[in-house]
This record gives sequence, structure tokens and C-alpha cells, in this order.
Amino acid sequence: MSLDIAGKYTFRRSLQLKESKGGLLVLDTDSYTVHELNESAAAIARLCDGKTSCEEMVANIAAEFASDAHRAAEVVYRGLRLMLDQDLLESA
Amino acid sequence: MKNEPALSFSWGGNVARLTTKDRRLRDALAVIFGAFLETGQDHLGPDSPHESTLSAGLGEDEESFDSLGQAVLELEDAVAWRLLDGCEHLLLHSAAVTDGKRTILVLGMSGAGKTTMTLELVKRGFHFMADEYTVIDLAGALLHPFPRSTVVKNIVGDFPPGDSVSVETEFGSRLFYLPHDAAALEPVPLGEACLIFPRFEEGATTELKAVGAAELCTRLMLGAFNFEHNERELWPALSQLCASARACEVCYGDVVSGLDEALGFFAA
Repeated sequence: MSLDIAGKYTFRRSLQLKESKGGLLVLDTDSYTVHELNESAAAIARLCDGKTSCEEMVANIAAEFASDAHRAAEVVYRGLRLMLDQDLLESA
Repeated sequence: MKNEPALSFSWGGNVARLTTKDRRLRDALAVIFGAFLETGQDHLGPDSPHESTLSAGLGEDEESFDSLGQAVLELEDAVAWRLLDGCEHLLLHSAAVTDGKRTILVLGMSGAGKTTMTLELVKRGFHFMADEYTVIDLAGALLHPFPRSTVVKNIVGDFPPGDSVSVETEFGSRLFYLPHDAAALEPVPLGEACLIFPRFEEGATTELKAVGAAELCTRLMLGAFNFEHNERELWPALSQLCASARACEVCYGDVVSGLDEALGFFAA
């Protein structure tokens, strides 16, 4: 699935999540794979609630990490693409 | 020959009884499962749902086993699985020890050096909690003792006082050993558990590498007896353990230096 910056995303329902030290562990029971999301990826993942737009994610990440909007957008879009590539997200 | 008095073992609400005419078999199982022994009146009447009775014996006129060694090796697992029947906690293929402040799990396939490293920890004053089956409750917060005896080459030296029995098996002589304090163990908080994946290689220099949380999850998922088909129920316990634990893989030729390296890693 390619990234639609106008879209909203959630984690696939078959995934199991666990907060870990500054990040997130994600168990994909279909592939029996565990993904470890670092702090910034986990922050993006927590915003994948089906209601938050990509634009809003950028604003949130910029505020959370005291970053400029341009840098925050890079991080958000790269993070979302990675999670889509790993089949962790679906369109809300 | 009449039956020896039945042995009754209990754990987690399950009871497994052994009846046999062979005193040697009875004595061996009494050592191996010494921490689970019930004392009290003989059982009368049929087993209730969480109870089971095993009848075992040797020789031509009795059931099941051709030799004492064969009987012990098979009953060792049969009794354990009856006691663990219906266990809803995460069940890892792991040994476990504690010193009251730190809990250390030693994980690996047969031959990896799990028992050797565990025994070295016992010699250094850690209390023996489990040899093969480590039970972690669903919140991931407590480790429940399941101290079936372990197998040693000898108990000369720094081993704490305990019971032992030697049995000849098709794989050679086996010396089963259980420290006396195993029966008195209580569940311990896992806290920041320390996990060691030993890898013994004859003559190897000690090498250690850290195991990150995601890889640890994968290793534990594959090494758990009951994770498959129970992922939703057991993921909280497994992920809690992985999120808070420190883990390393240590390749060693000498267990003393291998364990020194691992303990140094955890202390850093």
C-alpha cells in the first residue's frame, strides 16, 4: 500500500502492541514477526488512530520533538511509509 | 509384590500421583519432584478433574517400562506435564534462578549449555527456581517456581545441600540433584529480569552480544511451549518481559568466564 497523505491510518487489528522503553513492540501474529519501533516511530504509531490526518501528525510530532515542520514532515512520512511497507497499517 | 505407598505431587491446583511396586523408581521420582511432594493421607476414591494417577513399573509382569532409566526419563516429563496441565501462564523452555534481587533466566535448546550455566549460578549462591519449565504469570510480573530437579555430573564442591539420585539410562549415568531450599521457594517479581542465551563451543573464547527487545520477543515466542495459538492471551506477559528485561547471547568454552561476562553485562 502506498502512502496517501490525505488519508488516515490505523494499525491492523491482528497486531498486538506493547509499550517498551521509549518505543513500541508490535507482534504480527500472521507472520509471527515482532517489530520494534523506536521513539519517533512509536510517536507516529500512537497517532495512527484512524482520526488523525497526516497534517495533524506532522504538527504533533513537531511539537513533541521541538522540531521544525519540514523536518517533522520528513520523519512522519518516512515513518508511515516504513510501517506501510511492513504491512502494519491499514486505511481507516 | 505389593505397591509402595503412592507418591503425590502437587502444583498450581493439579495433583499427580504415582503408584509403583518398584522402590527404586519411587525413590528416584521422590527426589526429582521433591519440591512438589504432598504429605498426608493416602488418596481414596477416583481422581477429581485436576488429579491424575500414573501407575508404573518394571519387569515382565508389570506395565510400561523395560528399565529403571527408561521409566525415570519418561515419568520425569509425564509428571511435569500433568502438573502443568491447564496452566494459563506463559511457559518458557528455560531454567531460572534468583538471588532475591535479580532473576536470571537461562534459555536454549538442548546442548546449548543451559544446565551447565544454571548450575554455575547455583554454585555462586543463586536459588534454583526451574530447570526446564519457567512459568511467568499473565501480567508478566511474577515468576512462579517449578523446581523439578536438574541433572549434574557430580555434586562435589560448592553445591548447596540437597538430595540426589543416580540412575543409569540409555544415555549414560544421570545424577539428578535438587537443592533442599527448592521446596520453600515463593513466586518472585521479575522486575528487570536478566536473560542469558548460552552457546557452548568446545575451546571457544568468550564472546557476548546483546539481544534487543524485538529479537528477544521472537526468540521467546519460538521457545515458549504454549505461545502458539494463545498469542492474544500470552502476548501481554511475553511483551512485558521483553520490554523490561536485559538479554544477551554468550558463546563460551569455559562456563566460568562465560558467566562472568554475562553478569558483567547485566551490571553495566
